[in-house]
Amino acid sequence: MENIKVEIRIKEVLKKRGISQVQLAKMLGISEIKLSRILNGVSIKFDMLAKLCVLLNVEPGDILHVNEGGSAGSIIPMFLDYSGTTDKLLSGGVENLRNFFQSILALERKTNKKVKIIMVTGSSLEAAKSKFTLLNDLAMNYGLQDLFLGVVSEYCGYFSTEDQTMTLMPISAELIQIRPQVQKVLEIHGAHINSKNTTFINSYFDAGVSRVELASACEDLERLLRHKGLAEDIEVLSYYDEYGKEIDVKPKTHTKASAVGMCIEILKKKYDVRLVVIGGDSQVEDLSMYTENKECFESIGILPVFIAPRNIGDVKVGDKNIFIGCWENAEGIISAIQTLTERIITTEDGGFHL
Amino acid sequence: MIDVVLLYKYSSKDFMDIDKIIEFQKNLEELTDKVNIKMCFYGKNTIEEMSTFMSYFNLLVGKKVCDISFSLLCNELVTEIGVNNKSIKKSATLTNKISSHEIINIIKDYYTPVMKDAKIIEMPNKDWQSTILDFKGV
Repeated sequence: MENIKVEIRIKEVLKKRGISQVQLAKMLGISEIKLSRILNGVSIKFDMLAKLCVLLNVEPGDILHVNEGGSAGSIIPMFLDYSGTTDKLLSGGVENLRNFFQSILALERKTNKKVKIIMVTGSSLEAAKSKFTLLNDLAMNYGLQDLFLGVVSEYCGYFSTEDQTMTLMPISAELIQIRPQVQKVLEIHGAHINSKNTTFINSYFDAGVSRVELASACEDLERLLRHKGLAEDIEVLSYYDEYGKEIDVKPKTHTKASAVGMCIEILKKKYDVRLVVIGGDSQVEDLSMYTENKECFESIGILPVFIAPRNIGDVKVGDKNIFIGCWENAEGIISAIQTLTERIITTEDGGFHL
Repeated sequence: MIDVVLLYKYSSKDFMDIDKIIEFQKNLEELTDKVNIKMCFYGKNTIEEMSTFMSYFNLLVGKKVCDISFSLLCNELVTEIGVNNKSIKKSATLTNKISSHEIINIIKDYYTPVMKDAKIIEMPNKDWQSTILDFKGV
């Protein structure tokens, strides 16, 4: 009984009358966001319901429906790679962020489903939660009360704002044991350790570090792992790009792709999920969030969509679920979501296709 | 041109607001030729929270209005370079001063080399986006 809720279904009525939700908001004298919240069952006052009925020439019973469904509703999880995506969105300034929120609202209107953003990051949980709080407050103050659903940190911990819970993938005991030695090697090479006391070691170097120096640190770390017999389970990843010069040492099982799979498993227990949007911008690892989960998602009736930048390799050009070449700046992120909104089609059974 | 450093109690909910930031940008523009505004925040928050907030806030405003903040949880002066909180500078010598709430003196020390006669003023968070206009006639 706890998931019973009253929904306002006016999509068909609006279609018959040739009225858009934007126009309806204007007619009601309220913002699009407020209308979106009303239509998503947040709350409606009787005088607003009366106004809506008069404008649409319907009775309350024509548009109010009791949803007794077992799930808490139908959502579109949107996984966004943290640093690349948010850096780009924010560096575009406040107007771009507003346009981003508008593009999300447009996708919600087209699909009649709530978008829930989950950020995916290699940062430690505390750092991830700090960023998440700021983004969540930006959305909340804009009227998007529950747009940001959660954050995946270190590709193994999932923090959700809904119930303040945190779920972890199995922890790598080996990495905890070897951590002091790994840190020592990194520090000898001049690295700074970013995340402490976790099962994922993220380190960063000063801007002047060369590729050769970074490679040398990686070699020493790999030698250490081989010596300890852990090379099969733990990997060393290095990054030398515009976002920084970094080395991560992590369990091979903790990947962006496994994090996305883990989240969908959690979300499916509570929500009806038929479409998943995955976005990343900088690394091949981002693409793996889509490729490694695609088959599994499709087998359970979920349409996976990936929004890819120009600079990610190995993107299959023939895959219509992949949107390429529009992630180079903040406007690109927004345009990618707009293109998806244009192309998405709802099927009779509530699913989606492109 | 006068230099003003405004001190606010950190609140993500108060400052992470698109509409307020847009209004703030316009007001800041009005003051461009008269007042050089810097903002500074303090709160019982972690270094990472303060550092990330500064990065986000500066990016959204489109101008580096915030150079330093204070983490009263960790008793640290926090600076911001980039969005990945990777340049947090800690100063052990400042620790006692911060815990003694001598924030204003620390701000003065920090800005003295570049803004010798900067005025440091504690401000309320309410209507922060428009209260900067109070300095229009200064």
